[in-house]
Amino acid sequence: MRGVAARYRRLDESSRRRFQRWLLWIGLLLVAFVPPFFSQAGRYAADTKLPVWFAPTRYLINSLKVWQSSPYLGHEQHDGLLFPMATFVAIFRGIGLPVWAVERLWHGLLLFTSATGMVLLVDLFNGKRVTIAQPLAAAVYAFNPYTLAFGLHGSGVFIPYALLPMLLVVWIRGLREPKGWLWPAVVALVFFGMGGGNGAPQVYALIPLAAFLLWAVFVERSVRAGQAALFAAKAGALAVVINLYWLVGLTTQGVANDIAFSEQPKVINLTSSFAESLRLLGFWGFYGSDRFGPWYPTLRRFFTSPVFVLSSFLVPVLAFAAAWRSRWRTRLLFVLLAVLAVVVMAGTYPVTRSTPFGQALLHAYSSIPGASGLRTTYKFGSTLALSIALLAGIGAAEAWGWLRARAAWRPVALIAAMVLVASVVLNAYPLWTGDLYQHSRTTKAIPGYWRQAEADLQKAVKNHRVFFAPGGLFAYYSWGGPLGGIAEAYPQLPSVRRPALPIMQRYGSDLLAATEQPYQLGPSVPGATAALLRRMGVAFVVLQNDLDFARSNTARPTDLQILAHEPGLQPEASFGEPGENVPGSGSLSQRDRNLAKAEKKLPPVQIFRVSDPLPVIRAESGSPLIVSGDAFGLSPVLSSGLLGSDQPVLYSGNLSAAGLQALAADGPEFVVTDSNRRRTWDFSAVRQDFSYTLPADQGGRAVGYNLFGGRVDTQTVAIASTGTNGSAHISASGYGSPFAPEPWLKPENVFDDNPSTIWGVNGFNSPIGQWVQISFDHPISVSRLTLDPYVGRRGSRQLTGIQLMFSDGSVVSRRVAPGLTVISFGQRTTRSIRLQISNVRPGPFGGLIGLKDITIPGLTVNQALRLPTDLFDAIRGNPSLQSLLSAAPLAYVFDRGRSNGSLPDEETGLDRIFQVPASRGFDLAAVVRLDPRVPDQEVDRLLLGTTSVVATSSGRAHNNIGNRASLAIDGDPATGWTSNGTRGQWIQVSFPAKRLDHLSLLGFVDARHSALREVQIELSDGTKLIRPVATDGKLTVHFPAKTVSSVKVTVLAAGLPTSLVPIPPPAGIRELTIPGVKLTGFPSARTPLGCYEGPGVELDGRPVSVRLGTGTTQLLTGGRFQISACDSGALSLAAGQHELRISGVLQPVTASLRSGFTTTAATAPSTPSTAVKATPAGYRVDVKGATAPFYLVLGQNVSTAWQASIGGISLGPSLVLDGFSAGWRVARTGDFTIQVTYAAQARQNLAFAVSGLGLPLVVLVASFGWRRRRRRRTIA
Amino acid sequence: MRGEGSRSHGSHRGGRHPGGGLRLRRTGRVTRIALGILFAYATYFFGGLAGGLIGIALMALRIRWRSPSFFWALGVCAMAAAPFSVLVQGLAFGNVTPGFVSRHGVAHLLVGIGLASVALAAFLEIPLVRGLGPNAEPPAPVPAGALAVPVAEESASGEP
Repeated sequence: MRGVAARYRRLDESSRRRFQRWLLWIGLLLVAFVPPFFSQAGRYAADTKLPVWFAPTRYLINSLKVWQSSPYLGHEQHDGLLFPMATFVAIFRGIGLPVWAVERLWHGLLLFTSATGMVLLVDLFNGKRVTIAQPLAAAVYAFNPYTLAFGLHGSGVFIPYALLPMLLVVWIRGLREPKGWLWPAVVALVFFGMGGGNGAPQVYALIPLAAFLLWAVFVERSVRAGQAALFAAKAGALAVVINLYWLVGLTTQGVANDIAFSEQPKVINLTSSFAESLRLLGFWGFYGSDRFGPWYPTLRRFFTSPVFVLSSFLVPVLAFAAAWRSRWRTRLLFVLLAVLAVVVMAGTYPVTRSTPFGQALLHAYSSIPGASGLRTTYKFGSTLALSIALLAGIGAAEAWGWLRARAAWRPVALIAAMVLVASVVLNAYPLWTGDLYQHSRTTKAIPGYWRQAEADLQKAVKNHRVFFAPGGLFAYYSWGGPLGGIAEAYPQLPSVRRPALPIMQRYGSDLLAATEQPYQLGPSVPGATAALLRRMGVAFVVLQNDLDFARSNTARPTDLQILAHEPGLQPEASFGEPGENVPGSGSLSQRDRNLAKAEKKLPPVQIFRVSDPLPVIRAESGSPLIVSGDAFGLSPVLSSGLLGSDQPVLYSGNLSAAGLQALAADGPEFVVTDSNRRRTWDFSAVRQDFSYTLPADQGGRAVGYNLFGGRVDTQTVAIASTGTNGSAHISASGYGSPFAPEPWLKPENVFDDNPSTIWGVNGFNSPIGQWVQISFDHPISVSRLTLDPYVGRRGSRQLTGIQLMFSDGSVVSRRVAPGLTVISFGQRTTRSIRLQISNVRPGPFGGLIGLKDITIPGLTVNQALRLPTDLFDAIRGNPSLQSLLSAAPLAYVFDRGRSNGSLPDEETGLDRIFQVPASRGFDLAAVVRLDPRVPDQEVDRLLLGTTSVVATSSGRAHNNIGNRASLAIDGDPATGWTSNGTRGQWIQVSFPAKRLDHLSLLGFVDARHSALREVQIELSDGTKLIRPVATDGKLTVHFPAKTVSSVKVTVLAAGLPTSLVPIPPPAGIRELTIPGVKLTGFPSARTPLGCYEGPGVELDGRPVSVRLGTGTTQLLTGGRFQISACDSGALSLAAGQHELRISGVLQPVTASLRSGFTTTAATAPSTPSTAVKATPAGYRVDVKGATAPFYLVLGQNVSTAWQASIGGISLGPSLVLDGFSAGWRVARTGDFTIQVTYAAQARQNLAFAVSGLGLPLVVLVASFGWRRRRRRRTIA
Repeated sequence: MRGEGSRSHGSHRGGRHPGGGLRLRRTGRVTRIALGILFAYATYFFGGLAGGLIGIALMALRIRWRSPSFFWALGVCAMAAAPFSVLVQGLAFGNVTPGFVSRHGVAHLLVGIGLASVALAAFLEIPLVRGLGPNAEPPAPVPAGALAVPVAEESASGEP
């Protein structure tokens, strides 16, 4: 070492400088490349796109094509990763390096490029002599929270950051030598090196360039404005030419969807305060966490440790201090750029009251095309980092020189240098501590069983697809967190996976969400899932049991097993050992533990075969079924038997009057569904992801999948009305949990006169200030109302105060107690009543705060869902279409908003408003079940009809029908009434008045019941008798003979004789013997039940007599059964609006009204055979044997760019067929060929050609220019 | 091409440079008031009401303290105070949430003051370097508390 030092001292000045330079490069190389290899060594860390790493060659090939048929039913790719990222990965993977090593090399290269560019930039301003400026600036720029936490986690959009200093160097040099084409070409090449991506970082990179140009022209005056403009124009033109290949992708539908459905400014700028932005934090994801911990654990210390907080502020503060004391002139530009960068990074912060700049940004996002793509303002952090690094580096070098020149200050210089270095080191601590990558987002290798499964599927799938269940925003597996699903790791396999964010025109995404309903908490319609998959061309369904379902926030393996019992799916194969990599779920509850135990018997991969799958590209013939609604209506349509196996399906929302007319010749059938509900969706999740059904005036312009242009007439919307005051509008400040929508807590629940439904706000935030409001078209007069607050379990918080606000501005405040609270106030006339939570008693368990019901005297609020009206709007004023719809088969299909049972239902019944085009008769059919919450007497009425003896009770245990009151007076001591508690529970029997002088009862005496100890017997004449009950449960009461019409028995005391059970079992009565009073004649278990007419099924307010197509057992055990109208064909509906209501004792699952549909399938014309061949721009479909018009289903998501032609004659714009696919009606017969092309590919090909030809030309220009420049210098 | 830093040992001549000092001297009161209003509006635009008040306050201070150094110092001090306000207002415990940012409004305000102040200082110094080109000698740093030369010249001429 001493020898090296001595040799160094002997070097001359220039050799020393060269040595220092080499030392600098070697140091930066080591720091940039080595630490990433020691962070999660051997494991791939999720970065950008999975196929880039796992199938780079295939990815490169695919990236030449705009249209990607996998894995989302087809989408346009606009990745822009072709160069340099994918090319780099493909080269190094091609020479056999493992994924993780290539990734570390790539990350090291990016860090080294950042540092190198910074060194060159410092050289430009501070001279080439190596001082502290170069390493410090390089370290500050290359190793900070932005690069290590944000940049390397999505390196595709990080490349512009890495190349920004280099770009600025060549830009500045170009401005100083503006003549010629050398520097414009070099600028364009550096810009080309930034790659594509979403374009925003590239746009932000232009700002410092523009700023320097203005500086050079107007401040430095080193270049004339005209020269600068010409230079910029030349550089810009060359850059556009060679970057055109990805620039054209920015106009794709995918980019528009990403902008529309990914995080919005109110999230993006939630945390981007000036202070956080200044220290290069402020990105919203850094402050997020879930039950598994922070999303960016590597940054946690910047928020929890005082040392790290100080160090993160120190560098920018020192940079500004250096700018103050420093001498180099251009520092002023970088000070202003740093200020601008912080302000832009803050964006719309604070999001609740944005600055004028923030409001201007919001306006720009919504009104300037493409501006919204720049809304992740954090990406402008590159300019802040560059400015800070430059100011700090050069400032430190000057300060170091100044201090070293003064002997007295040397210790200060040393300490200051140590603090500065320590600060830079702390800011890059993930690099040194091995925490660069989060373990849960890393993967060692894809397990062998997946590789085997993929190989087998590849052989078997042929012209079909493989469906991977379940979908999700991110995919974390037990063996690693690649984030993309396993399907994406195998781009060569034609696959389908539900994405969280909507794709293309969103029909396919809607269909996939509907298909996943059965195992993603939604309702299950047996057979419908397989039928939908079949129409997508899916031949195999893969269950990913090794998904870490909790972290992925998706269905667990036991949920997926519903597909194992799905009609139409057969087990095909499984891979892996039972329990291998199948996650348990911890020990949250006994249920969880039981499920985990069952899951441990499952293999990690299960494959099912779909019966008779349709080819992806196919012909369909026969009468098309025109569905008003969306894919969520298809499952009930399928279960109603209204859709043939190969029948084409079209959405009426896409059809104009002319479109309908064009289909008239095919004899279409029509179904109006209560789907395409107006909801807001949370696309960051795949379960519990939508709101309750909204009224037409709520939710904003674009809600949910925004199908059919978001037209309200295509949507099912909620409407409310009052008997006398016209329509009502119910709204609320919020509902449910802030973390996931809870539609069963909708605000409408407080006006539904149903205490079992609740409006409330959940979570840990304060509910004070939350409100629910009802507004009326016409003012109402009100002087009091009754509240029924929700009371949670013991220890939970409780509503204790409320404010009533009226439209005249008056406010009434009242305390609220559990139970019904009557609030009286002065008579007033109001157009609205708002109930605002003003006080809450805290409880250690937090919990729901809300209201069960609000009763306003004289006011009844009717709530219903109005079905889409688009079909009827389209035929209005068109006699031929009206006659078509009047004669064609027409059905209405209703599906109650419900879950799979693990969550409460959105709706307790059906109330639907729909239009009928012309008078005609309809058959009513519904699948219902006995609502377990209905009162006892309603169950008896269902079974026996109206009887003179009626038994009611305070409640029954577990809502079990077999515990109802009438079973205590049926003369059978084997059955009885089991209450819902002990003290205070009662049973009452009403009967025709008769003279009585005694009665008796027999209580339960067993371990499952609390024994009766004392009861009160109350007769209808007011007589009250309190009697103890013997230990054998028997009691006989004698009293003077009197005429009695009802007897009520109330439990005063009950309990187990020697019970240590904390919660005593319920009390009950086996038999209550009232002489001459019995309720018998209950039908036997298998006797089919007859007709029922009572509250529950109403059409236009009139009860409908329905036949119960089941026996008693099925009914009482809660099983589903069918009902139909007792009078066949009796439901004649006139043209106009109608309302069907099914609720109460018969809880509907689905219902339909149909007219003109035949039970036997109509003879469809034979479907022509098709032979499909892929072409560079699309497909060639050879059709043989077409004898009638048919529909060509492409099996790819619909897009306006799909075009089809026969012999050069276009088939016109594509239709949306089978819920998602582009397709065309083909009227030609015989044998012919249809050319299907994706028009955007031609534009993309042209862009590739321009960029491909332009790139070598630009390289040539740059190299010639460089040589010429060198020659000139040599001559000089 | 030599870097600028290698020529950073010259004397301060910016104020006397024909492209810089003369231009500044010609700047009249109306222009300066207009620029002042523009600056205050810019701080309002980027910082909201609080930003506007900061801008007005800085303009008021500018009447008394004309040296850019004052504003450099003010800006740096305000920003240097930000981490201490974070410490005083409390660090995160357990999981970090967006509440961490909303809780530290003082740091946001301090950095806002700092940014506005250093921006003003930079704007005040731009006339000193205007027209010097990339290859001319840079000005010497302005000593803390001293008035920038052009302003002093203006003051000497009796202009406010």
